[in-house]
Amino acid sequence: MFEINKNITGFIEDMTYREQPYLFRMKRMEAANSLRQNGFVFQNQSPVSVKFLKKKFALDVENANTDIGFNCTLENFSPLVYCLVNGRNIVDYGKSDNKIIVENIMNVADKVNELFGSLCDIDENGFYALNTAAFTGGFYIEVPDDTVMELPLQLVSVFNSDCDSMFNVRNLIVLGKNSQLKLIQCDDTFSDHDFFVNNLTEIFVREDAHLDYYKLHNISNDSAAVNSVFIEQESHSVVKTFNMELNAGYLSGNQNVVLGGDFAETYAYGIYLADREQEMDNYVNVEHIGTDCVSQQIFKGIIDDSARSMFTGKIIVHRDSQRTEASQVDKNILLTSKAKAYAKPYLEIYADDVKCSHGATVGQLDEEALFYMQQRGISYENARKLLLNAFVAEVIDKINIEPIKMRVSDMVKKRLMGELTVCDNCVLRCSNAKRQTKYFDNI
Amino acid sequence: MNNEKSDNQIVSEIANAEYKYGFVTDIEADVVPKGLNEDIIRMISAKKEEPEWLLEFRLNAYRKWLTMKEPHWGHVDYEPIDYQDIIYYSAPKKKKQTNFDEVDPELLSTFNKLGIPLDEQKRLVNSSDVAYDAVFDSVSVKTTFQDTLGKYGIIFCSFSEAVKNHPDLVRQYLSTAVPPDDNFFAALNSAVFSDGSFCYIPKGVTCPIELSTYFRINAAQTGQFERTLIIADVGASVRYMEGCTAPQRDENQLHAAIVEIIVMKDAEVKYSTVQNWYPGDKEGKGGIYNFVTKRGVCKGDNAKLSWVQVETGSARTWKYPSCILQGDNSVGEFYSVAVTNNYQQADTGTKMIHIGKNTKSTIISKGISAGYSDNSYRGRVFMAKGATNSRNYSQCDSLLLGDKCGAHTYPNIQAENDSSVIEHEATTSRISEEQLFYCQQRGISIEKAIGLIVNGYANEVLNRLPMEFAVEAKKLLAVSLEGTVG
Amino acid sequence: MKLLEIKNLWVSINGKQILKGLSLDINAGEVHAVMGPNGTGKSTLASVIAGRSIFNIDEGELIYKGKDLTKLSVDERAKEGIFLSFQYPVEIPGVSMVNFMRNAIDEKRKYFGQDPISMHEFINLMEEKKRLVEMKDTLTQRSVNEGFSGGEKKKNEIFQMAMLEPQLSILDETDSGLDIDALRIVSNGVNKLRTPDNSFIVITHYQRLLNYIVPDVVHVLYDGKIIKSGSKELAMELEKDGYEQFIK
Repeated sequence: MFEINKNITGFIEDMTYREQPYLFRMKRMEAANSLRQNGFVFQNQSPVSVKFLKKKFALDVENANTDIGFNCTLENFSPLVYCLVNGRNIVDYGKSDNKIIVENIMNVADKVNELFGSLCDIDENGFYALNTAAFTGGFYIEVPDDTVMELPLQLVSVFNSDCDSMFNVRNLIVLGKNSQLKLIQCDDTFSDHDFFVNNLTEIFVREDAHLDYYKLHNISNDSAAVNSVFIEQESHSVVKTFNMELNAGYLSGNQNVVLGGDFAETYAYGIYLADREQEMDNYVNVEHIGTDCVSQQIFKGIIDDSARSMFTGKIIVHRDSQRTEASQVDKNILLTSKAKAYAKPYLEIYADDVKCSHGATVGQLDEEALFYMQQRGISYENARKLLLNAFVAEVIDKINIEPIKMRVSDMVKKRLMGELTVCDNCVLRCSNAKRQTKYFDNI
Repeated sequence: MNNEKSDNQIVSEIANAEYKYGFVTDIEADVVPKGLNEDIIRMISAKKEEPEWLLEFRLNAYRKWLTMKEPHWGHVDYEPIDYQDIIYYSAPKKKKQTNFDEVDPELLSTFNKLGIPLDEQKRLVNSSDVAYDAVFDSVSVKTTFQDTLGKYGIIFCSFSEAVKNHPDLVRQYLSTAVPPDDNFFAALNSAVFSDGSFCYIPKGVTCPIELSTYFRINAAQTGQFERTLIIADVGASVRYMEGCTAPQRDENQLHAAIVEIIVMKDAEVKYSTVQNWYPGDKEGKGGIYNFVTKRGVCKGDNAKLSWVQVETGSARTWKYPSCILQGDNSVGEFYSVAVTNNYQQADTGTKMIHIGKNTKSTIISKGISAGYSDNSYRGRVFMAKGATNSRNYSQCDSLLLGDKCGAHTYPNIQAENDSSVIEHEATTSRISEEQLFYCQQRGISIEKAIGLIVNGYANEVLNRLPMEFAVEAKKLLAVSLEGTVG
Repeated sequence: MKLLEIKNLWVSINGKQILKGLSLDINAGEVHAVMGPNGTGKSTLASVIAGRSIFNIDEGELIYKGKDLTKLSVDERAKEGIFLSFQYPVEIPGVSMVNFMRNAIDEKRKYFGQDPISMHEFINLMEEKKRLVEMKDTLTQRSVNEGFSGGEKKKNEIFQMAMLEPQLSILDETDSGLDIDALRIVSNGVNKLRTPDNSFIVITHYQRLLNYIVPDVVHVLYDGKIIKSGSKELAMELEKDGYEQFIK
């Protein structure tokens, strides 16, 4: 049984005694019980992930400086912006739109009564239980029925502490019937200390609703993030998720999608770029319950140095989910002899009228293409960069907010050239520039 | 809605296909008491007049087994097995006979009925002959063409004989591919294995005929635990076939075998199986639990090991014929057709462990599910750090006939070096309405159309089987799926 | 002699009405061209005659050689001599053309109480018919339609038609996607199979095919009905002035 730090258990204890709505207290107690009984359920344990979990973090960071002067300078891009500081306080950066509701989850227990925790099984994964027991705040977003959000909504989680800290952030998002939302989420560190961020987001997508969900992961090499996303989709809803994992010491993405209604569609796209000792795990589980649904997963990874990636993809098609179309692709490029890639693309099919496929590859850059390019006068280094960019382009091209696509493409290029990946002019220091050393520079 | 009606008819016909080998041979047997303990193991060992080291091997395995847990990670459910309710040794009693080599006529006729000729003619062998080792419950009753093969220096005999006549060879290679504590069922087999086949092909020899082991379970309440050991020495080559059947019974019977194959430098072994254990009846009652461990080691450079399997029988299957590619440039292959029908459940696949440089492996798996069955492919491809420039290609397709069955794919890909390439592809589909309509429009009846399409789907694997096996397998496929296709 | 009679045929799919009271008589030895814009029910007509079960016959009669066609399954109709050359022939992986054709011929022979064809006879037949459509030798070794080009697939359909010697052949847009050389080969193949007993329904968009396969009658199909029938000149008129002139 994997045990977590004493200071974490102590903090959980403390959280249950604080003054709070009945719902949250009950949920915390359940989760604390699960952790006591089952230990910290932790699949895919690896030295890196364990190192982060064993590390001592402060858990109760308050007094956050909310005046961080955030200003995103993407051209032709002016989303609604809300910041969550240290998983506690929400700062509204003007332009608020009264069409949607954005609140701190701590204040809306009455609204989330039925929904909170309904999609995640706390016994399944220690991070789910930990988040449920120890969350300190997070976003509650509600898009009312028939509401089409013209502007994208950007949610920024900022962490600013004078010591190494862990944050448990809990979000809950509801897209009403026939509503539409483009959501961009980034976690950013604002100091030179190490962080462990454990996010858990439950998303309810009602009939005919459309959600595009972009998640940018760009934290320091000494920080870790676990992002667990649960999505429930009703009939005729369409969800696209984009996981851009550019930098992190340890990153674990869990995405669980339940296609409950008929004719729903879900698309999960991801890229992961890992170097040094980094580790990036992705778990994508798509469950087809309704009929005539479509799901697609495309993940691409480039693994350098001694980094390690693990992709587990599951497609489950239930007995009555006829006329399902499901596909899943995971492709990896290993750049050094110490890099490791693991893939488990699983299919579980119980219906017969289905089109399901999956593919997984681990390989290198195409030597013939490299040679061909060199023969045309392109340097070896340049040819490699071009090919690596082309490799991830399939995923980046799916991004349908043009300024974000440009920015991500640019950041990936820089990342692959070993340059810093912070946004220009941004006050945040997402990837902890100070300690960033040049990697990926042997390519 | 003509077609749809016929569609349903087909599915029901599929579910009604009969098992043709379900008869019982009435023969007096020498059995040990039910149950498992050290005394039983000593008793089996004594009956086989084994040397001390082999008894020790068994007892060690048994002690390890006691500490192990039955694996349940496979996609197979079954009632708990009571290991004390199994008879671990049952041998047909030898009649008082003058000639030691003479086989009981009852057994001869049993094997004849199964299409296995044990009466060899005294004549020159030709390449279309097959040498058989016939195993009936716990013992080998006859091995044919032994003398002829002996002229080539080839040893082909029952495992028990090998222990007596070639103890050094057995001792040198036993458990080098499957250690006694490899897994729960392997440990059980190592403790109680009764007989099986042994084969040694000396340096540079190409075995002139196909070798084959035929396993028959006859006695009730008995488990079968045979063990096969095949060694192809430097530059040798052999093609080996395995077949099996069992009577139709309401109880489940356990078959926990081990096959170990050692392939030395430049040697080549092709091991084909047509697995046709009794699958249980239409309601899922009875049938064999086929929980076997098959593994080969390509020890030397340029060694090649090829597994070809057609799995149509057994109530439950848990089997992963694997290749450890240790020698540089060695090659591993796995070609499989697994058919499940009624309430059968199969969890089968392979492991390709790449250790040597420039090693290559190919996995082609074709699952066919019908009735209420579950059919899973489970595979592991591992590229070790030193397995530079190695390649794996896997293709795992599933075909669903009917909407009450399941088809699952669980590959596990592990790459730990940067010059190897792993490619995995899988698809799940059913026979399309367009394909059936097209065939019917050309005047081919729907039953035949399904047969044609299924055989076409499995063709890539069936083509790998030796000729006489391929014919057998195509028939079996037809029988297990529809009964009308010739 | 009437080979096929269609009387007041109403056909729907998933509740959508496609054919709305179509009537058509085809005598032995005649070639009928059916023309009309996209989505008017031409391919549906072909599929319904062949017996595809996804279509519902709501009303009407289909009489072939005096028999009620609707009582026969798809393969029985085929054995009775109805051949459909598909617009999009499906691929059947792993099933070789040779195996496929042998099964088709043997089943038909069995249906009429004949012995299976001998290998020798079968091979000779194949060689003869392959020449008819100038088909490459290797194609018959491949799986049914798998990896065939568009033109090869259409040739393969005519090859099969020649092998099975049907009485009523329905060519569903056999000309679509064919270049002029392939069109000539395919048409030649069809023309060689024209006899006083065999009839054809040629479904096409374009008049061009009808230069090669000259029809006895041309029908205009619109909105699920035949709205005009005439001689081969009607096709020229259609090509020149379009369908609108006939639409009320």
